[in-house]
Amino acid sequence: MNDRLEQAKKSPFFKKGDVIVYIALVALIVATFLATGLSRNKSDLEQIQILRDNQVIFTYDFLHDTVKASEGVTVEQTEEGYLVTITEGDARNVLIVKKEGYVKMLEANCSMHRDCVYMAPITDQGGFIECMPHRLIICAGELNFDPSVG
Amino acid sequence: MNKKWLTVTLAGVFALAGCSQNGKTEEKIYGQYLYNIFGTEAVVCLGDEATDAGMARAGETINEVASLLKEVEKSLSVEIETSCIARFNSASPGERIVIDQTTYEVLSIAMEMYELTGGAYNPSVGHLVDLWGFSPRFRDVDYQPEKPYDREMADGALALPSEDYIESFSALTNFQDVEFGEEGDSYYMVKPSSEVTIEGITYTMMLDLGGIGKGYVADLGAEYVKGKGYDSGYVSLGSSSISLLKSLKEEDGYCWNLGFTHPRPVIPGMNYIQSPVKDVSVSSSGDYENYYYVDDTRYCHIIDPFTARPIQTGVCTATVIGLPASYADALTTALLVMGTQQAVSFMQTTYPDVQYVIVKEGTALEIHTNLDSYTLLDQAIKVIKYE
Repeated sequence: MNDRLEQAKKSPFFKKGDVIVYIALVALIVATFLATGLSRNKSDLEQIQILRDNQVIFTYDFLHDTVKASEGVTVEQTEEGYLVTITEGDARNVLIVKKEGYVKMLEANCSMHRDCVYMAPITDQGGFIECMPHRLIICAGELNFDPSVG
Repeated sequence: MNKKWLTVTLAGVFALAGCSQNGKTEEKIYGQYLYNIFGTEAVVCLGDEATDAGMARAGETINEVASLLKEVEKSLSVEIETSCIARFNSASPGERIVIDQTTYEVLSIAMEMYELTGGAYNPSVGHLVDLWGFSPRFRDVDYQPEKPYDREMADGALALPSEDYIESFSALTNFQDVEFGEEGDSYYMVKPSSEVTIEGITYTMMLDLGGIGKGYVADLGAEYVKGKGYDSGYVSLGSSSISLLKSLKEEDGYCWNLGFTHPRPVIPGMNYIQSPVKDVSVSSSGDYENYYYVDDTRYCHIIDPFTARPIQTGVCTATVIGLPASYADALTTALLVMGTQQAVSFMQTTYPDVQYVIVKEGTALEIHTNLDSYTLLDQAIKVIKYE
């Protein structure tokens, strides 16, 4: 028993193989924390589209920071992202698109109630804002046709 | 295993991997928004092959549905001057109007539901709807008072109308006085003789079949696509009326997971329950679609025909599942007018096999329902279940 104890005391705490395992474990833990921490701060938004009459008139790619806009859509760069103005005759809608992953209708002259301005901002794929009187849909990812009633 | 057998085996594996389950071509849902139909948007979804041909076929069918819906709107819309209903509204007392079959059918449904609900559903409250500020012209961003009874809009709300007008317009809501019928190959309706004069202007009955019309076209659209061979998809009118076929999800028994819009959402657009449904029509009415507040009282677009005022029954939304959408549309309006107790009793005695969800507002929201299968999404809502 004492021999074993003496042997254990003399053997190095970290054998070469153990060192490799420990380093790998620490690296894995650090990587996991970093990945989790980064993903918490990073939005899930990849791309948003604006459709009018079911036709795409604006696209923004969050991953590559690229804008595509059709006629009737003006894009103004801001500190946080872009101010997108959509006009058709007297109809006017203004959206904010933040690079961090946030899209919201700021202004609209669609109706007295301007429901689209009060819709929740888009922060995740699947998010959706609609301006029915101006026949506009703003969506992140493919249009979601899950039915709802009421 | 020699190379020859290996090659054959691998080829077989890849071939099988290339096929979808049961050798069927994969399908997907194609959807499209159709705008300005009965003052709202329609959504038509169809399940077809995930191929260029499938997409083209679905797109063509959706366009045909759009044309069909627009044709019906020409008969029923109060905003189209030449529609049967608009001509009735502008007709003189006692005048006989030639109408089309669509209008006759919808009128028949309206009269049946008016009688069945004891007048709780009443499509002749058109003047009251306008008086209280819920006609389409009030949604215009450039709204300006134009009629003698109009008030200024302040922060999205109107001052309350005068009692004289409420009482006068209430006298024009005797829907049972509308005569209509078939004559040979054509149809007709007769404007009732009732009229009221107030501040020098004479008013006659004004009908609005928009609510029932949405349900009618939802069902019509669904029947049309079934006739074209589709068995998956849905036709929705403004989310208040939806006629559903099946979904494509075999794992869900081909049911759609239908969301019910929360009448008092913490997050805009959230649902309060969801329920698996297929091959059924669903209609819903609510006090949250169009309303304003005056002195902490909510005034919504659903007019109580008995009080000539927006409902104050405490029911904030009613949904009916399992009737044709046109009937269900009329019924959900009536359920809001009836109030919770009467509404539940009415459903139990008149439609015992039809599912309903009624949400009552009190210190907290309460669901009164006989729905068999649902998921409650807002745990703050109490559920009272009926068999």
